[in-house]
Formats: sequence, structure tokens, C-alpha cells
Amino acid sequence: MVFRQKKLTLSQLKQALDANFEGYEPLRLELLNALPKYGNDNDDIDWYFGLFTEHIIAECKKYTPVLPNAKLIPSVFCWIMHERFGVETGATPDGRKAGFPLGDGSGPCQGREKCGPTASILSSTKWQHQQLIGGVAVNMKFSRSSLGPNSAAVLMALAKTYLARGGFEFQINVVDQETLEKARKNPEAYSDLVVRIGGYSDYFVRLTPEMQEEIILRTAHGL
Amino acid sequence: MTGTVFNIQRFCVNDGPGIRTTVFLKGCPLSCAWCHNPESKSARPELFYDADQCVSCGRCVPLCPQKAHLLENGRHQLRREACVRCMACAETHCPALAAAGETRRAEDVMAEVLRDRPFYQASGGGMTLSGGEPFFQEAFALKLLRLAREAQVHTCVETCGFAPLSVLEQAARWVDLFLYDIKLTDPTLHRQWTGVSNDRILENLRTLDKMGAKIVLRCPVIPGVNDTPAHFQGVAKIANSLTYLQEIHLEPYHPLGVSKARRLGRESLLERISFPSEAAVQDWIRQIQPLVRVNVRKS
Repeated sequence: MVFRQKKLTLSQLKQALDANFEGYEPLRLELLNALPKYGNDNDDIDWYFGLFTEHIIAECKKYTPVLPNAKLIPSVFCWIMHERFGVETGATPDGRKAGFPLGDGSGPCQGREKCGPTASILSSTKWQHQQLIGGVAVNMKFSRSSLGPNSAAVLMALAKTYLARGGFEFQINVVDQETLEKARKNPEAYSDLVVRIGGYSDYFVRLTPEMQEEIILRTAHGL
Repeated sequence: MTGTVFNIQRFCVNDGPGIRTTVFLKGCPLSCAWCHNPESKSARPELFYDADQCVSCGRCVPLCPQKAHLLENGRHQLRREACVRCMACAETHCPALAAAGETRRAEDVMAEVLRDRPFYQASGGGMTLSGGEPFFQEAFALKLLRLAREAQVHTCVETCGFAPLSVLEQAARWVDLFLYDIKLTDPTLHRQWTGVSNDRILENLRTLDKMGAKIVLRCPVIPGVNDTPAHFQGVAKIANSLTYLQEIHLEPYHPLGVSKARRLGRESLLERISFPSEAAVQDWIRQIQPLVRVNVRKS
């Protein structure tokens, strides 16, 4: 947007971020939706994540803590601090508003993955995990209603492929009705949530309001 | 070679065995009243507009050479009749506007399909061609199937069976599993609900079976249309006439097509039908299962 497309200057972008995108909604939508994001098996953008982790590893090697026999251990994982850090962080140029949680692990940020779990796993394993012994955790959400007779085999194939590609830690989450309610109220934070519709799966937030209602009711029956 | 593709969906787990990438090709010779992919009916690209997602920001207005997008009293209006499907507006990455369908090279589609190869290997998955009717773009579909076979990727085709026999015979060389629709068994009702007779469909099915093709019958069940004992008996009769049949899948109607039709500015013919209950689906399975030797399950 700034350096290649030259659609706006760096100071204009800073202005929009300082204003938390107030009055800049079209720009925010373009940053959010038009620019490629980590987590979608896009080699150009995923390359930056590798660059970023190599930087962390190199920096940790440079310094020695004052404690005896201590070492700085690199990781790309903030445990449960992503919400807290998010509260402290201003608007970011990926279209994220101030106060919104940061990424909840080493996988893509909430709502940035649009191409499903396989693309997300490929993105999360294009960079080297083995030196990041402080922790690498990739989270993945599935709706409770999407689980069927083949789900165990499918989830196993996902986990095996993740590990075979050098993945460190893979966490599978199954979400319930409460999460679906939250997704309905705050769709941007849940645009990666996949639900089963009937021999077919789709992103929950893409469904019509009536369909979302239907899915939520159905999930309640399934519990 | 190019074709019109309206979606390449990765991580499909209901379109054949394992984890699959489903390539949806545009164009279909049938007009099923319950169609859940109405964007696939026409073989040309179309514009999706989702009024629920529109915030009337007006970015689309200056982009439209036809003045199909208007702001009236600050509210966005789409004049469908003025739209010539140039898709200039869809390039704004607006959440309310999207192009349904784009022209793609077969090699590029295959490159995208092959990205998930590690998952196919781990799960026994592969590529599925769907639509629309994949064989509506017969040369393109055959090319994709051949490329997949050359790349040693397992192939499925979801077909309504309404295609020239010669095309299906060629395809059978590169297709590992046909997911073959049986929508209605009665020829008159078939014509009434889908626009064509099922004579050719059933004849093609018999020929594929004689060739030794592996087939799963997929039966959309739409309450009020074909959830009848006569239809279920008809399905069983067809199933029992096939040597290489693997399974029968029942696909309960879901109203997703209604909202999609709305986004295309069309009316869906089945606005009022709701999801069949799980009990109803189990009842259908109980009606068919005793009549056939293969497994019957919900898809």
C-alpha cells in the first residue's frame, strides 16, 4: 500500500492508525481484506513470518542474562497473554483496531485464515520450528456440530501432516453454542470458524442471520 | 486450456474419501428447484451481492461504468438490470460484493490442488470435481482429470450424469470414484423438478457400471418432493442393478441455496422448506437400507 502500490504515504497510514481508523473505514477494509495475510498458504506473505522468527532466534543468541547458566530461549507464543497484549496495542496496519486481541498462538491471527485448515497448517510450517524451544503452538478451531463419524481420521491426518512438516505443537479446539453466539455478535473475530450445514461446511460468519440462528439452535440440540 | 471456475475449496471432507480439494466448475444443464449452488447454473461469471454485509460506504459507486451501483439517501442500491458483469466493483474486496466465477487455466487450477498433496497422502484424499455439472465444460473437466491422474492424485467427480456418453467413457479412464446423482426416479417428475428427463442419466449410469467404474449414488432428499416410499424403492431398484456400486449417500435438503440465490438477485423456488430433522433422515435411511446390499448413509 505504501511502498509498492503507493496508494498512500507512510504518514497518512500513521494518521489512520493514530485515529484507530475512525473516519478511515474503507482503508481499514482494504488493509484487512485486500492484502494477503499469513495463514492462507501464500508463499510471499508467509516468507515474512520466517524472517521474523529468524530475527527472534538471532537476537536471543546475542545476549546473555545476568543469572548464572541462564540463556534466552526463543519462542513465538504468548500463552494466554494475547488478549492482554491486544488491549495494550494500538491499531495495526493489517486492519486490526486498537485493543483487539493479538494472534492467539503461532498460527494466523483470529479471522485472518480464509482458506481452511490445510492452508493454515502449510503456512504455519513453512518456517523452522526446531530452534524455537520456548514454544510454538498452532491453534485450530472446529465447531462441535461439524464433528462426524470421519472427523477423528480427518483431525489425525491434519495433526500428522503438521508434525511431519516439523510442527512443534498443534492444538485442536472444538467450539460450542456460546462461541457461536459470540461469533454472531462479533463476526470479524470469528471469520475462520467453520460449521457443518448438511453434507457441507461453510464459514459461520458468511451465513445469513437466519441460517446462523438455525445453526445455533441445532448446536444446542446436539449438546 | 481455460475454464470457468467458481470456487476451489480446500479441506472438503464430504466430497469423497479423506481430505479433498473440490474444484467447482460453472455451468449446469439442469435447473433443479432446490439447487444449493445457484451461482453455478450459468457458465459465465456473475456478481454476488450480499445486502446484509453492505455498509453503504459507496466505494463501488465510482468504479461502476454502468452506474449499476447507486447511493440513494446514503443507502446503497444495486440495479441488477444495468450490471454487465464486468466485476470492477468486486475488486474493491468489499465483504458484500464478490465475483462468482473466473476464467482459470487448467495447469493453474492443478497447481492449487497440488498444494494440499501432503494432506491427501495422510488421509487418502484427493481432488473432487463438482459444479454445476463438471462435464458441462467437458474438455476442461477431462483435462483436469487427466492432469490429476498424471500427478497421482485420487479423483472424484460429482455429476448429475446428464452428459454425452462419450465424455463419461473418456472420464472413466481418469476417475477413481463417481459420485452420481439420482434426484428423482420417475421420468416425468424428473423433468418437472429438474427440467430434463432422466433417460440419458440412467443409461449413462448403466454403461459406466458395465465399464467397471466405481460409483456412489448420491440422492438429494427434499421434503415434499422426493421423500416418498415410491422414490426410495426406485433408488433401491437402480442400486440393485449395478455391479460396482460402493455406497448410497442421502443428502438432506439444506436451504443454503436460498440465500445464495438472493445474493444473485434471483428467487429460489423453495423458499419455505426448512432443514429436515435428524429423525426424518434416519427414517429415510431405514426405508432404503433393507432393500439394498450396499451401505446407506447420510452424506
